[in-house]
Amino acid sequence: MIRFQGVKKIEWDYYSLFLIPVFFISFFLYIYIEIKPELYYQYQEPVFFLDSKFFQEFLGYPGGLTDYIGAFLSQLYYYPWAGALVGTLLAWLIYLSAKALIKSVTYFKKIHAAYLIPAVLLLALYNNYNYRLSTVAGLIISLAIFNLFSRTVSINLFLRLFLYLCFSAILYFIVGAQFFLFAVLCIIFEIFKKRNYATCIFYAIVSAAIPYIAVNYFFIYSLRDAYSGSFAFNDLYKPWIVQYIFYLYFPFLMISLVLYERLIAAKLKTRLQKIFLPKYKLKYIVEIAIIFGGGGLLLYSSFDGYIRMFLRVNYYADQNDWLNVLNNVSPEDMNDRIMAFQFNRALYHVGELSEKMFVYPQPAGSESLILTFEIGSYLPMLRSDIFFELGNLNEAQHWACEALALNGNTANNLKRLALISILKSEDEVALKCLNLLDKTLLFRGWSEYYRKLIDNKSLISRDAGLQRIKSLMPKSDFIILSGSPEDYFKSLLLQNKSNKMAYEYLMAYYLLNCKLSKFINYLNQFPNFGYLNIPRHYEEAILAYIAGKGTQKFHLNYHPHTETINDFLAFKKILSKYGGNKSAARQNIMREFAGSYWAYFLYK
Amino acid sequence: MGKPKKIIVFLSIVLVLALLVILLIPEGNPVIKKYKFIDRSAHIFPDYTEIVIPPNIAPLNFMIKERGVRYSVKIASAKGEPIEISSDDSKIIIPIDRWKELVSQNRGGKLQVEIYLEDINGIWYKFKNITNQIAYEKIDQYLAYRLINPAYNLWRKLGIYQRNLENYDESPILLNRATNESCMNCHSFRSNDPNYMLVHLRKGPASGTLISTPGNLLKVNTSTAFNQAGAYPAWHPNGKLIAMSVNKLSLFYHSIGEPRDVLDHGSDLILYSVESNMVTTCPGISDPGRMETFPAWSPDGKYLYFSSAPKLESFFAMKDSVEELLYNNIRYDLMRIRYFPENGTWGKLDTVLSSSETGLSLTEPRVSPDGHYLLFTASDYGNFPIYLKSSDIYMLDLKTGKYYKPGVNSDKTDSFHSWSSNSHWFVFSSKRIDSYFTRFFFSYVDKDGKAYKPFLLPQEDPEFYSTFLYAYNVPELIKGPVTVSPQELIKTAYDPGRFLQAQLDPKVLPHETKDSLRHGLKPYLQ
Repeated sequence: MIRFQGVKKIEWDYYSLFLIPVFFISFFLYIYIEIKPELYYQYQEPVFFLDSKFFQEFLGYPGGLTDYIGAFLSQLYYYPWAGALVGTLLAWLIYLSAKALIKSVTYFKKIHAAYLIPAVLLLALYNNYNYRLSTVAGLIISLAIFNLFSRTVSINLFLRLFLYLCFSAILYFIVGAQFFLFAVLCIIFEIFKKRNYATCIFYAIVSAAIPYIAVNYFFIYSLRDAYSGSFAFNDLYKPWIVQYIFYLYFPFLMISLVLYERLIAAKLKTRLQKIFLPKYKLKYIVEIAIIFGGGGLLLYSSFDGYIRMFLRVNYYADQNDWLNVLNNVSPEDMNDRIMAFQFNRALYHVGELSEKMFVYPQPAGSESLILTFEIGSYLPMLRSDIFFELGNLNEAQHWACEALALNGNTANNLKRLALISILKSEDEVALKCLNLLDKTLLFRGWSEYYRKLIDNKSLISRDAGLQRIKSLMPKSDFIILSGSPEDYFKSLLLQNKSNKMAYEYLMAYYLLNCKLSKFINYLNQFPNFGYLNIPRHYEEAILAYIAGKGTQKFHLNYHPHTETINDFLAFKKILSKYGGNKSAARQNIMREFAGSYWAYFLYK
Repeated sequence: MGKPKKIIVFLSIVLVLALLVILLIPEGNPVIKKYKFIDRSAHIFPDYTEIVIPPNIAPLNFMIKERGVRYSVKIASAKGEPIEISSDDSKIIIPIDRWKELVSQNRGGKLQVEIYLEDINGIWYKFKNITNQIAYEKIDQYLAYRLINPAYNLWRKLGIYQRNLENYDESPILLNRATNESCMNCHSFRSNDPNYMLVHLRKGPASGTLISTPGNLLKVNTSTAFNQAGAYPAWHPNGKLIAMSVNKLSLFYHSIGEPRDVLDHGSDLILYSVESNMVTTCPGISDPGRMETFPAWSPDGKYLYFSSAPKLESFFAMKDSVEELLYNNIRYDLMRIRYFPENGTWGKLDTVLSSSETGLSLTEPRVSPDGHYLLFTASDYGNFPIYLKSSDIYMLDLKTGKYYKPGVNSDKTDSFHSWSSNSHWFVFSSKRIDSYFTRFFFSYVDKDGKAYKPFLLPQEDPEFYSTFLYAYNVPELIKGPVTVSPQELIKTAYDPGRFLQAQLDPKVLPHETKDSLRHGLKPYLQ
């Protein structure tokens, strides 16, 4: 007997020492390498200030405290390793909670798969960049309180009822509607462990009443949110059912283990020992297969590579890492207007918009230059970005304020507003943003740098980024007709003739809309922008225009390169080979001239 | 334990207690025997210098914007104990009880503020005293307003709040997190009475106009075949009627300066009867050839004041091959129309002050509760002064018909105002601090109609405004707290049993369709 226990202990330690660390190291690496916490930061833009006023905002509604915890932890996504570590630590806490839960209701031990399944589910939820750490924090707190409460099983009934009331009220305040998990576990516990049905009814009534009382007397909150608000269920998860299984798992596990223990295991105790004890290795293999095999499948089905690419492109764009933007967008992605927008923006910044714009297909047309109002209404900072780069600070401010209204005082919103205000000499507004950034964990250095620029205006001229924007700003007022990009770019050019970006975007607008006459009209401004050569697409458009009109009705100091002329002749030759039938010539032309403006012009 | 050990333990305890006492007892005010005098007032924020304050206002905490290592402030008046505050940082937090005692004892008297600072070399300096005046007349105890991020098209988190001006307590009247993130505004009260309140909610299942009267709370859809839902409400003093404007407004944007601007292209006024749930109007206030907005009743309820401008045939013209919006030649006149509440009939329409006379667009009329003065906003053009830097507050003496610009204005936007019930105070919105975020300022009006230098809404933390990115909207002074709870308002907003669809007066013909009203506008203005 002694020998047997000794063997068992060694096996257990060896197994735990192997399985658990391997699992959590894999968990960490998966978040770090596959999910990439910095993309979480990019998507969620968590807001957190070290400030009592900020903390007080979270006390005004049930679940606010877990939102506060979530907001704090989410800051750490900024550093990929820290974000992965936080995600892993929360999973480890879930694992411990599941272990404690099982321990509190059954005599079963060492069912590692059961402990680890919630962590696997959590990882599947992490695959969705919408997932909030406040949700998992709320769940952990609910489980922890249940595990604490389950230890009161032996105390006086009335005291226990009183404790339940207190725990529920406090827990509801801390985690909001997620406290229902605690309530359900308590009820199951009471039914199966104590068989005290009157207590269960009491628990159910108290649990149903607490949100109602809270919303009617203590908090300004809708009834629907009072009962469901902090669960944050949505239809973005893949597979959608995982978010529900994550919660249902704990009551289900509890019921099934208790029933198993009571109805089957008790009767088969001797036989079970015989069956299971000598076969630990098989059990472990099964467990490992469930965790790593099943988990792998779940992760595969819940991961959305396109969203990750989308966020990655936006992340690189935010970092002004234009080469990486270009490297991460594929031709197929150009069907997405936002990807096409970032691609064209990146091309402009590397000086190749007029050279390589048509290397990729442009199915979004001119909507890929300035995103529509509709897209701006859910991704306002993208519109702010492009207007900022065009030197149109007021529109950049407009969309930064929309972002502020939608997403709150995020670091990106504050930084953008600060920069705009510095450039507009609205120092008081800039200082407000910098004061807030001073209260963040991550952006005090940034704030300090720009505070110096406010104190000493001459430093602005040494900041190349600000100086560039300043040089593009309109000199006098005009009404922004952003619903009409053509008029908008023309107005920007009219107000500041050296606005090269406005010029290139106007010309791109004409090319994308095949308005070659208007394109030709604006060619006369071409010499103002210091080009060394006429860009490839401009040459192609000029040749297409001449071919269309049959004559050169404009004066241009630049002459298309011989290679371009030769290419155009070859292009025309293919077309004429098919008798001008562009459909018939398509395959041939796309093979030879897919990246040319001519192909776009022909097959738009 | 041996005796020496006991002595050591005893002495240790005494030592620890002594240290605690030293650390916990607040440092006394320094005795400043010698100082150098600086012949100017200290720079402080907010600028609480040379102002007139109500005897019931919360302590005016401030920051000394002078470099020092220690600060000392003495606030004194003719009667009562002076308040002395010393601080290592430049924030001066005034004890509320002592402030209340001092200020209430000296109604009508002066309040002296002495400011001292110690520099890094241990030398004390004294600035020239700041002298403020304590008015005899109190200000209404509460202020209702909306807090919102600088508004463009989108919003998520906003609410209507009330602030007790006698302390710093702010409480929500209604928060949109409880109403599906609907927009809410147009909170309005009858003659500063919090028992009669209106709040308009827009978008989502809670949308509608919440109307609270003593013992009754309803949600009304004020849109009818004639009009869309009403805005800019003005309660008739009898509490049974509410004048509203039905606006066709479009936001547009400038490339420099304040980005936002608003174009009115077809506003009218309507009158909603709370008793009969009926909407009516008359040609005088809904002329198809004019745009009427900003209704306000005279305190006797006999006149409805409003702003009105001729409607343009086209809002666009071509310039430099770019289409141009004609926005800056629309100017509003101040009008009034006689109303007979006893039989619900309308009388003569008068021009109170014309834009052609002033060269300015005249909006937001508000008559003082004693009927003597009319405050209005004048700006270079348009109907949305809050977005116009040129906006200033003007006062019209209704007895003499003379108008003037009181000394409360700044070079930034000054607009939207509300009178206190005793006609001696008004609050208004101003962007003077940072040119972008509206903040509330209060000004005293004496019996001769002179308005005094305004002061900023005080906050417990004088640094509050330095990180606050919400704008204060639509200030309304009220005599007490709003009696209906947020929870009741939320319940009513969702309760079909308390919902009313307003009826159109059969004598009023249905209006043109909304689409036809937008005729001639571009998609980006719709």
